[in-house]
Amino acid sequence: MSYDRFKTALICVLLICVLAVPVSAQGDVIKIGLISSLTGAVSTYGQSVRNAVTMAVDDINAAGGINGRQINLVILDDKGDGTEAAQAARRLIDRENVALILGPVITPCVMAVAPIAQAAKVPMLTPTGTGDEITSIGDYIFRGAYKDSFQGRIMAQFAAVNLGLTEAAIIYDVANDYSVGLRNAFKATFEELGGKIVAEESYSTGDTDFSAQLTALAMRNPQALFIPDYYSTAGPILMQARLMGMDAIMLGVDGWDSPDLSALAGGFEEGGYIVNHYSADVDSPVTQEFIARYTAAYGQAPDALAALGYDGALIVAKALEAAGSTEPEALKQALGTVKGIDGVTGTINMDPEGTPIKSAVILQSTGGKWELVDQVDPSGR
Amino acid sequence: MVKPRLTGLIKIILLLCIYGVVRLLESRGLLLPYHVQVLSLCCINVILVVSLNLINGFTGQFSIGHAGFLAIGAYLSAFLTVKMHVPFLAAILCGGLLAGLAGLAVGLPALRLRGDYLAIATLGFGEIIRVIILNMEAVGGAKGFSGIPKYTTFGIAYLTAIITVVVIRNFVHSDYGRACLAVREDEIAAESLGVNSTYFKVLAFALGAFFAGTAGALFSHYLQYMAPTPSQIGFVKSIDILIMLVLGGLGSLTGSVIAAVVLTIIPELLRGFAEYRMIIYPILLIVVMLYLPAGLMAGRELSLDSLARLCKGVKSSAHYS
Repeated sequence: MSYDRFKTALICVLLICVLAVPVSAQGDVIKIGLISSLTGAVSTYGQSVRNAVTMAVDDINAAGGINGRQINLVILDDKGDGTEAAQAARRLIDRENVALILGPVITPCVMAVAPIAQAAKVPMLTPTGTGDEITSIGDYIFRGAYKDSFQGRIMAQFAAVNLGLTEAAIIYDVANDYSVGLRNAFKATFEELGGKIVAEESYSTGDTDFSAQLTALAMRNPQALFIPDYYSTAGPILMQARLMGMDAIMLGVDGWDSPDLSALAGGFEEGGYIVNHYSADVDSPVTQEFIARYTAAYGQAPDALAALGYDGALIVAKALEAAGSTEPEALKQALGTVKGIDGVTGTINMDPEGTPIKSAVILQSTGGKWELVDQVDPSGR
Repeated sequence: MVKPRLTGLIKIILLLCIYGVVRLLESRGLLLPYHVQVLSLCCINVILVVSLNLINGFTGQFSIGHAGFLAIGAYLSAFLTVKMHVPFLAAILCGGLLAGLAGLAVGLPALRLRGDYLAIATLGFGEIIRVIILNMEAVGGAKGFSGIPKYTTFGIAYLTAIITVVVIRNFVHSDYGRACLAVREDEIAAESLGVNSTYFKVLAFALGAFFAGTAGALFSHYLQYMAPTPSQIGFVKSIDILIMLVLGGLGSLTGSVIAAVVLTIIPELLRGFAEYRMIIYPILLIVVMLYLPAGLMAGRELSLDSLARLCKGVKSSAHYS
């Protein structure tokens, strides 16, 4: 390739870049920004959310929009990185003039975006962020999922009351906020209910060999082992624990929910329990219709993130409708007060504090599938 | 050859003009807070890349733990402003000084190593810093440090970037800098001429670390939230800085500045591409590295002199034609 042709190629690439910058649509539309992790280490999470939100917005627009106005969705990628998420947020607020921000998906990104949204008084709702401290940043910050502490409490209650356990052990990731938060909540509630944490071990993100910790735990012979981590780590722990001969009941969290868990755990997740946002078994028409349509549109069954993304869009739509305008103050009020939304993950009632009041489910792995065991009311909060 | 005092004046006027234009466009609403935010990030990245250039480019030591120094500056300054209510400028300085001290402490043992070994040692250092921060409850631990006030303005970032470039440029052109260059070119020859190579290597390392620390202080008060993740203060960040450095050209300050600015802006331009963004960006990098293997500036500098020569060259060729 000669220098001139290289130059032409370069100019073409740059031209494409410039032309591809989304042109803002004119007319009476409501602009909503979505920040999602479409690339990077957690890209499957981000893509699920993007797919589901796009689907929800298309539905709303097809049904005539909100109070007669169509929704225009602007999607930006944050690579799962806080710095990028902050840039994306500034761009949505300043350049796209969005009425509201949906996202980001993971807690570190949410924590970087929230101060910007709060300062600019643009309401934001993360459909999936579970970190406890998110909603304490300000009154413009909302979420569509439950908090980590709620999740940890539910699992401890289930273990102590429903399973009648008195002794449990914990193995957790000391370097991961999510894991630490869950462990704290589980431990506090379990002990409150008269149970005893007989042993506790920790590791750090990226570790792959847990034999030393598991040996120490196995010596105490606990009735149950709580593993609050993502599927990528929980899988190997499950396998190594069982191969070591540990026969404790395995307790997990929403991070286990992945099609890859079974392969990583060698099938040893069988019989284990997890808390999750929703179950595909719930016999609600909204849930079943969502699963069928999502599967038809994207060729794979929706995971919990897709379900939460869809519900996030529903909450936002309902709030926009209730507010009657895109005025930030009214929208903020509406987001904190909309009630009775029939979502995929159950009935959602928003709370001015920012976190919705909704149910969680307990699932058990039976024959390679997650079966619904129990549905926990929000009163359990 | 333009007279030195005249060029100095022209440079100062040019720099003031850039600042003035940015502020003017901002007040007219042509530059949105979003654009100014991106420009601030450009300045922070310029500081990081230029300071790494001192270590990797001019002294020839291969360090890939630069984010460790950034982390020290970022967290210490944030801790000082949030918990101790120290003024921002003092916090920047403290962040830089502690990072510089850490550079000294790491540099003394590690700089006895060369090449790959030094790279591994600095990588290890960066991870140690990250893990220490991860386990410090006072700065949020794994939860991250939130609630940092937004003190970093474009003005402060721009001024700090200029100071960094000027100091490092003058350092490189001083006797000390010449000694560093000698160490880069041939350590044994330099030693035999009486250059204390360890001293100069550690000096350059500590100075680079100091500026990385100040960049960190600006960064944490820019983002308002620090998470101890690899992409923020770990090896991924170190590699990002290294990419900018190599693309700009090792040993070229103007190359570092250009690359830092360009590589901060390109991902922003590409943001609308969603999944394809992280395909296009690396392709651009590969293309540049294929056609300009020594980086954009390939060790040369862009200066008023060279510009003047270029203009003269164009004029004279026009004259001949």
